[in-house]
Amino acid sequence: MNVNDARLGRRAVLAGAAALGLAGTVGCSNNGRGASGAGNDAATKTKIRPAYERYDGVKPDLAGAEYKIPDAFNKYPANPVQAITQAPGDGKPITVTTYTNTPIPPKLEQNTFWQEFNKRVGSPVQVNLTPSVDYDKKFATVVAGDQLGDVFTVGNVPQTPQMLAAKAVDLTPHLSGENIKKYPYLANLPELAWNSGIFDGKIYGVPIPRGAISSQVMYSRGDILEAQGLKAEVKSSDDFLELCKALTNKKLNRFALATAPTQFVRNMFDVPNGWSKDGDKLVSSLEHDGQEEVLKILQQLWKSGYIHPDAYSGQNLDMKTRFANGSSPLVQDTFSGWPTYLQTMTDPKASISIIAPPKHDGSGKGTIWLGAPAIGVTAISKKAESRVETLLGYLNFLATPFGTQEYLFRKFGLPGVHHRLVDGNPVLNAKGFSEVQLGLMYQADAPWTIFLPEHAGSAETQFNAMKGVVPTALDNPAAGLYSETSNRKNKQLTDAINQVTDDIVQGRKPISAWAPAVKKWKSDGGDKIAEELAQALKSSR
Amino acid sequence: MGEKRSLGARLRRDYPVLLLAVPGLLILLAFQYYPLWGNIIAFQDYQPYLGVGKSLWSGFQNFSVIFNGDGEFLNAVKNTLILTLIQTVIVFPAPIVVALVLHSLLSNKLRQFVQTIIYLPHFMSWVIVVAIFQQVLGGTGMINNWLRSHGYSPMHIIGNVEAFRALLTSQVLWKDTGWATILFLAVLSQIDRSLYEASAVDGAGRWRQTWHVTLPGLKPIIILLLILKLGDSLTVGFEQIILQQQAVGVDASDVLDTYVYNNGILGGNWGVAAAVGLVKSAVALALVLSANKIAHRLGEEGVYRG
Amino acid sequence: MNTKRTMVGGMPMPGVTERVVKAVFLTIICAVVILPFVGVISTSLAPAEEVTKAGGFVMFPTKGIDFTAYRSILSGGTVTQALLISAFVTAVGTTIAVALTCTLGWALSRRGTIGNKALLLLVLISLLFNPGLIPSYLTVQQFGLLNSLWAVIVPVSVSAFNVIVVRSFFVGLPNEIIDAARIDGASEWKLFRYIGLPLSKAVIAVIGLFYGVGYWNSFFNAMLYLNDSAKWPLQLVLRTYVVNGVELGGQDLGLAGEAAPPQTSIQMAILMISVVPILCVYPFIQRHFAKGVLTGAVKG
Repeated sequence: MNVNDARLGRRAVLAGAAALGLAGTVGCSNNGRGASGAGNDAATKTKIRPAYERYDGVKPDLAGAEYKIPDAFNKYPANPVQAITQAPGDGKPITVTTYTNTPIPPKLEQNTFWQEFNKRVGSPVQVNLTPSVDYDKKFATVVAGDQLGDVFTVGNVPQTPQMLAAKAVDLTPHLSGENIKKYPYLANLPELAWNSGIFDGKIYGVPIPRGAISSQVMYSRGDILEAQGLKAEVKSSDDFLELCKALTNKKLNRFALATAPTQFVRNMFDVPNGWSKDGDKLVSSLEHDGQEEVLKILQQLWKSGYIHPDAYSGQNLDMKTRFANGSSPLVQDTFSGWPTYLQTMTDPKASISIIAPPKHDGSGKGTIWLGAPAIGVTAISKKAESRVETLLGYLNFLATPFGTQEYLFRKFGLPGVHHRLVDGNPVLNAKGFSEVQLGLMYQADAPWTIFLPEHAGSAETQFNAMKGVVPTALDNPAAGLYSETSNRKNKQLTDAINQVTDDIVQGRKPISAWAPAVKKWKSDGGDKIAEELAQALKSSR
Repeated sequence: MGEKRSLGARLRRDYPVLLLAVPGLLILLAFQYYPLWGNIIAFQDYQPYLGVGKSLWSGFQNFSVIFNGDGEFLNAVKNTLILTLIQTVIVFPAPIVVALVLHSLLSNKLRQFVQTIIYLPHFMSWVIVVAIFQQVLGGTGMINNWLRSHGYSPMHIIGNVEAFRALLTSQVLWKDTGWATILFLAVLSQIDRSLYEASAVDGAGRWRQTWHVTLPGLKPIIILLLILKLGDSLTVGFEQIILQQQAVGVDASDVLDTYVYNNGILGGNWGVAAAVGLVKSAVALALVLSANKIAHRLGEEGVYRG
Repeated sequence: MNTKRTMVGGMPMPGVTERVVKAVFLTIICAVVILPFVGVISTSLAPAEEVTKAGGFVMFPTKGIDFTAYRSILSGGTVTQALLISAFVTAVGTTIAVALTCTLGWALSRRGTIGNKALLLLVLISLLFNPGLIPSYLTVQQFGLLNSLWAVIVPVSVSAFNVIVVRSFFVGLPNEIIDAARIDGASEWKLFRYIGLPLSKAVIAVIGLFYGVGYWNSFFNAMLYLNDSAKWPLQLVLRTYVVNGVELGGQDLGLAGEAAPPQTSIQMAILMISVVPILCVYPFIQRHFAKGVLTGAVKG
């Protein structure tokens, strides 16, 4: 698990801000759920795991498969293929319980996208949206009141497998092995992502895939570095400190780093991604030898004033602004943040370069952490069991990949009404932006693609940046495995250890406070989580 | 009305009063009292998908968060009480002072103008209040940016452990002082003007009038609010604090609500939330009842006479 | 006796020093409130470029005025519709709440009536005990209110705190008036309607304001009880704008759209949109805070 994810903290804050209640991580947080939220018996998984069949109806400009990265497109394909010939719906309403991260859409009567969507689905779709930060609370109450929609996004609650067994349809007969081929676009979802949808050896959910795109890396403002004659490249931790020094100018209120680069520095020490295997056991990355060295470097960065002074007190949004306006030319963020930066950097000369982590002692390349394979799962309510094939067909429709007509419609609506073509690329207009927000991408989605029409050449830049670091990236051996203790306590444990990290970095506690904190983490539940995950992992062999 | 009457006679006499109470009471019974049964999940490992009927009983395990006496919990209680004390001493009287000043203004227009302005911050959410303070006092806030670009060393306010309580207090003062004057102004407006005239005839100046007429007029509401606030003394600024916790660390900032939030609620432990809620309510009830009794002894109305 | 001083409202005219001190005091208070608020307005109106440059907050915009933030919130019509819903909920809710609170408060203020103490305790305890999220939801569901605006209005229409405050006002009314009316044969309802209410206009205005602002600002119950987002009130709709920015930006959308205004501008514009209606209504309520309401009644 990533121990210093600003986004995670903020998310919890917002959830808490709403009211004292259940909160957790919904949405795009690419870690933090740690090892939770997935099937706990990987052995049966391999037998029941849906067969993977790559969709090759659309040729990418840059194919990413061999590097374990997404395909990249410079342009939206000119004559999109029609992926689905028959509308999946059965004419009866489909109710959906999910969350949203965007403003709600206009109501059906005023929403031409929604009307057209219903037509193409072949059933009137009723979406019950909830702001993502409130979703866990809403989900728990809706479960208690037995009010789940036919299709629902699984919230973060304890005893997830038991809850699903009680409330959701077992999809195994429909999706395991070759059965999934009936739903070719679900079969196109990456194999690893399915870990999150398999519980107790049964498939209960369709995953929303992410993976490499949600890996964290160090962004730098290529233009600013260049203006100072610096290169977006560091060879050792000392080199990195030098770079930060050169980019900091207190008179101009400029600080090299928008936030503490915890993960980047950990990458320099080859700290494992959450967990590492030790025979049959799992060892937490918190116990890695390099951690104290990592903290020493971070402490130094903070003390020297290379990290923005408001890094710990501002909002997550602020770090993006600092990078966009150049007041912090370095920021640690996920690859998926790229488009946001392209949209918010106001300087026309601004450019993004990724700095790959080196080994701390200069002996080679460091290793980044691979993002979680899935960010959520969608299940089908037991009450809708008789319509399960229709509903899977609906999810299949929502998973049609980039380059198809369905994808174009789903994300961009109708040409002339919701989007216009700029150099052959669809660009949403205001009407389109407000009408397409039915929370579709959290019900089911295609594998991620790199598509950055904002700026010519960006797709290739990002593709190459990912090609440079992702193939060697460390994956989390426990990703997708379910641990009850983790589901209940991971957030609390993570927050506690984050707090100690923050205290040490900001000099409120000595580095010697780390070891006892890790010990406490272990005894408070960390050991139990390791055990449960190891058990799940072991049974997978 | 002290004379003894039969129940039936009293009912016959009082039923119009009871009738007036019925609609409001029904709402309280339906939406406040009836759902209170749900608090039995304090003794369960409650799971929404199982419901109260099928969730497992866990005895007092949910209460262990409160009664295991670990350092972090005691620290949170300590911080809570200190903040409550500060807020009672500084934040509570502030709107009274402002209300007195506003009340003494001669021009209605001016008073209404000032009132309208000072209510504004109440409508800002904590996220925005915290952001505004950040923009002004933060490490790269207006003040520090100016200091740094003129060669002075910046002031360390936000993120400074020592300044944290002062920061919280000033945020609360800023946000809610104006709004809190409303109730006091309403009370002041109902003080019988003839009392002032009478005291003026007796030769009282403005200060003496304030002391002998205005403040006694405010006394019942001040005592009422203090008693009710006492019931809230274990609750301080959850949202405000959790938004700023990362900057100063748990030691300085953890209060009861944030502690419970971090230790139970985040994991979907509904039982823990209910358990803590029950204990807090019981403490609040005890505090309010005893404070009311004391107020009563001192000859005040308090919340109620009993 | 100070004969030189003019009397105003039973009080001598304030002296010069007092006036100066008060003026300085109030000026400082207003400045401390107003300046950040100017920042809020400026930021909501500043062009994107300037907001990004400033890193969030623009105090004095120099590059002209830009309504993009407002336009992007108001486009799509969801916010305008939510405004109407909020206005309905606030108007109906406040009316019901004030009626229920005043009648209950009046009944509780009649000391010595049967069960008075027990009922008061009942109200007080409801203030201190919290039913919890899920039981509240199940209750609303049992009453068949799910996905109805009544679910947002009815459950919070009696606040024990307000009941207690109103009651303490009624208790403070001069007994002589009530007793006199009673001797004249006035019924309980008439006492309440023609003596209690008119003498307590100020406090009724205050709790009306409390309820009104409460209804106007509430989003949590709406989030929980209203499935159909076409029924969402303003604050819940606006929340989706804030959530979006603080958490994710456009990054998780995989969408390319026209340049969006910076999130800070949106936040500030949202604040303005939710505050301005209250400021428009406020003066009508404020009239009731005027001095000397009681005097007239006593003398007349």
